[in-house]
Amino acid sequence: MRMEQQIEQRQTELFNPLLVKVEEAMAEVSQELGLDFVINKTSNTGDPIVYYASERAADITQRVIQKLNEN
Amino acid sequence: MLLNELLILPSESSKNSMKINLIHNTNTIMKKLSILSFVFLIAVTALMAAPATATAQDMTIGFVEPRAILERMPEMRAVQQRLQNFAERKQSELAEKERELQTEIELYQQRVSVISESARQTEEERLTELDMEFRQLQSQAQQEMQQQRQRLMAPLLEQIQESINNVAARKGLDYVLNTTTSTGDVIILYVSPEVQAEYDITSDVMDDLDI
Repeated sequence: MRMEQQIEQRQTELFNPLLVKVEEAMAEVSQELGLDFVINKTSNTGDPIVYYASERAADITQRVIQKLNEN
Repeated sequence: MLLNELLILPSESSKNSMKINLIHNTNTIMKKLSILSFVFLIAVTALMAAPATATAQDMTIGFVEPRAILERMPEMRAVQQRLQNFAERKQSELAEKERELQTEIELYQQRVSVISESARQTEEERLTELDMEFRQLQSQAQQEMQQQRQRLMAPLLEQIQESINNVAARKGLDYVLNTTTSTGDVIILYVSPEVQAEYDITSDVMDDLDI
């Protein structure tokens, strides 16, 4: 049990800097596009949050990836 | 789960078109959001313009309760039966293993006072190993159960997704959101009755599925 906690803690330590970068990239992309908000498409457990998006609904995943590569 | 805090549905909405209102500042939402995982993102374009001038930009959002649909699907009963059979089989396998382990432990306890120190150590090591094997089997069974569930549910979820696409296209919706995840996390916490009446497409999806 304690080992699992340690693993989890280590995971958080390692992931956080990455997540901060993603957050920054998302903020930049959102500002560039003038977005008011960004919705997570899938939950951690793999459940869809957004089941459907029409063509005029923008998916900014690729842009965020691109931004991350530039940064 | 931080997801619980991330709710961004309209607090106000006109009857004819649902507009998204920002209820948090974007950064807070982004912060909470980004902690979640590497995600697929969907963006909602600017909707801050006054309602009168915003018509072209209005995004209509529908929502759906997949669990209610699953419960109505006739295939669901067979899936549940198969899952239950699978679980029972795994459980009896595990119970068998546990009995074996228990017997070994009892044997050891009976003999521990009459065997040598080194024999005791060897015996304890062996029992520890058996115990670990048992635990491994337990978690393996859990994983198999999950895989089985996913495998059996996949065709049903595909059907639901297809019907959601049909209904959304027919109704001209821009988004269809899930109201509740399979783990019970609530995504949409509140919807006004007016919006519920018009944008809850759960029963339309059921109709589309002929259930």
